Amino acid sequence: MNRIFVLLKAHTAARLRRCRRGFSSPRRVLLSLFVVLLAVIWIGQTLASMLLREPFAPEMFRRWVSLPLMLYFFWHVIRVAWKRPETAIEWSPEEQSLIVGGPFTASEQLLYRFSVIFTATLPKALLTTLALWPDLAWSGPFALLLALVYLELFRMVADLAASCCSARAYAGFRAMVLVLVATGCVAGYQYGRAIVNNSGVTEAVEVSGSQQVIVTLQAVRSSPVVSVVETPFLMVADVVAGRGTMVSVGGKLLLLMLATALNATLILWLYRLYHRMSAERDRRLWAARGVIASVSVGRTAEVATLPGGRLVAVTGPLVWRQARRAQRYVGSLLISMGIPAMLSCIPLFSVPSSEVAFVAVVCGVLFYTFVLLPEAIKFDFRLDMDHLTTLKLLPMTSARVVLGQLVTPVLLALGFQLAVILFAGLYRDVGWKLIAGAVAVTSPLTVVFVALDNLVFLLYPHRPTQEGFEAFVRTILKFTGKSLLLVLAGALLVFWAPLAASLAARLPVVSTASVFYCGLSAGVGLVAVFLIRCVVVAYERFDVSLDGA
Amino acid sequence: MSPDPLISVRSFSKAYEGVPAVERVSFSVKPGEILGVIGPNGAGKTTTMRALATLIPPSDGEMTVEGFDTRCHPVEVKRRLAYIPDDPRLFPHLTVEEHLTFAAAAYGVSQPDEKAARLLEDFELSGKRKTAARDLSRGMRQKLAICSAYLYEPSALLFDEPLTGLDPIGIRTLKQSIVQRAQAGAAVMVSSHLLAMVEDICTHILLLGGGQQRFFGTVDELRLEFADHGSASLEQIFFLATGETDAARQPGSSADSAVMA
Repeated sequence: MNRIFVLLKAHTAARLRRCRRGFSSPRRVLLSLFVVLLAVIWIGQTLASMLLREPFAPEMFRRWVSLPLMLYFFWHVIRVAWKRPETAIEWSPEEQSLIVGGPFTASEQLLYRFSVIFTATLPKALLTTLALWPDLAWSGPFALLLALVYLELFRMVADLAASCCSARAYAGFRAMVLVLVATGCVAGYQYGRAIVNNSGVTEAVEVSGSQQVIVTLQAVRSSPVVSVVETPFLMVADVVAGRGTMVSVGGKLLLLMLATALNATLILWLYRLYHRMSAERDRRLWAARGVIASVSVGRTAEVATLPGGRLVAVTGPLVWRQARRAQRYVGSLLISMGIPAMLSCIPLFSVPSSEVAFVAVVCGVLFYTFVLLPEAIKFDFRLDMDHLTTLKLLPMTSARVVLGQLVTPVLLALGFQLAVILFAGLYRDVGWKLIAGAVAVTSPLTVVFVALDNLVFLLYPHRPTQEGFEAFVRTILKFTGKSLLLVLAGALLVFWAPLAASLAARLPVVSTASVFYCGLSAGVGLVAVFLIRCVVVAYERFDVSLDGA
Repeated sequence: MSPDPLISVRSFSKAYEGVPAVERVSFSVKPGEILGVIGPNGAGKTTTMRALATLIPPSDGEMTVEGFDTRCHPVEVKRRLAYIPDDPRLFPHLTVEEHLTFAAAAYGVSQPDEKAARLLEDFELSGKRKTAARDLSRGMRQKLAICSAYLYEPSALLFDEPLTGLDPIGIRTLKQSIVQRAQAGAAVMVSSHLLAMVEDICTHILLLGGGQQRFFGTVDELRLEFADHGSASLEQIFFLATGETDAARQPGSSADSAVMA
């Protein structure tokens, strides 16, 4: 065990060194300053929330703590059902060679993994502790840390279990999750509506569409089924808040520790099972090798021409390659876009004014495109950490490479937006001008979003599966930065709206809407061009000898 | 009159964060020549090749391929040059034939089908056309990288440890193909620690040590400069030229004994 800790210590030191070098590099000094600013805002915000706010009502606090834990838990179940993990545990190439390929037992390999998870979870728990400080009991910090570690381990359990089971078992699991989710949604909606209607909430008080949704969701959450499902998470919340006697809180804390230890044991068992099953599968394939070889020879003999000849001539090699890659993830892409699309469309059914509902849908679409969708459509530089040398060797200008790399995610995002905007526009019959205006603004904005993510990646390169403290900090800062940019964009919009009105008043032929949309579109377009230029410069300056992850 | 060099390097230097890796290296490779780049680990062989391939900018000096400067005209240089690293990073999800489609499109090869079929046949990859790159062995990945490079017939070829992972048949095929490419008028650079292979196929030698150029010239000139007899092997010359004594490296030598003690 000692050698694993020696390795972990060296690994942590190396990561800190790389982090320091990355932040202090003169080429990244501006972005590093921005990151420091974000960190200050975050810490300031956390401290302010800790020092200035009043404690929540105990019952409300209890329910709000249990909710994200429950959602995160079931998210892992749904995630695994959406897409079977390609490998049971994602190891980086370095870990593959040093840990998996090293003289370590399965339990030692997992111990290393647990340590990495623990070091990444520790700051998360610390931040949550600070944010919830006025409501926490003595057991709160321990319970938060344990709960977060438990969820991370559960993620591993879900991945391992999905990798271990047979194709038939996985299909059964998938179908079961699909049925449960669909039934839950329909039953929940009906139940919530019935409760709300019977209670007369909507008649007694005039409530908006979004409030109606919230009231319905609250009713669903109070249903007997959800209450039973939520019980373990409420127990965690009780320990966090120190609800009950010292003995009961201590007992629940012990239970949580036992559950976490059980998860770790389950992981070890599944990991060994996974290796055993992989070996068995290899043996089966070996036994069937004669059949495979004859099929393969038969198939290759027929092929004489290279595939994709015409298509690649139209799209160019880079777009073609990324499209081929995206093709492999069609199912996941449809789900990643389908759910945000449905959520974005909620205002269509709850907001009375057509125009307001349409604008709300467009804003929802933009929010998902900016914050969540980029993670699902990384068919650009972000998945090409290992191929930057190959890209740099291509006989193309940097601008052409950058455009070729960014086209696929931009087109995917635009397709998603167009589908939702067109559906919303036609469903509420808002007129083609409003639809065209929305498309004119969202299209360049999509370029801005994709370019921004790629710019951050090229300045601070990392692997998509990278875990640990560094990845956690990067994610937090990226989302904070994006939120700040959204706020800034909103502020500019507020500034631009009256300005457009006054400009339109001076030009009697042109409508205010036209001036507003044209100006907005042009402004966002300029930002998009500027950001693309920044990506080109970052790509040109990317040194394959120095800037690896 | 001898032809102009296809590859020309004058006073090339490269420093990483202020630490010099290569200092004032100069050489040239004419059509038909095969330059063997040799030297101990950390001598600057890969840095020199990567700079020529426009992957890293030189700190000082000038590098040209067919007269195009690597800094001013990187796209023109890349169009004429193929760099095959020791561990080629292929696109894992693309199949063997899709890689060739990609290379043909990227380098503007017209009618690549026949050429691709011949290359796949030569490098024994015909049976793997539909196999994804991630499912290929290291040697096969190396072969695919070489096929992709040969497909667009570059005038300058840079091989960095090209025999890594290749089987004996692959080694023979590659050596033959390198000689054939040179005979067809290409300028070839081969960096390798396999001195027998270098001696076998190279017409010129660039010897680097500690980032400094120790020698550049033909194999015979190398013998004349470092060995007192014309039959000395490249391995013997290597130890003489780099200041390492062959005896000191033998197991059981006094140096080893001291360490073991």
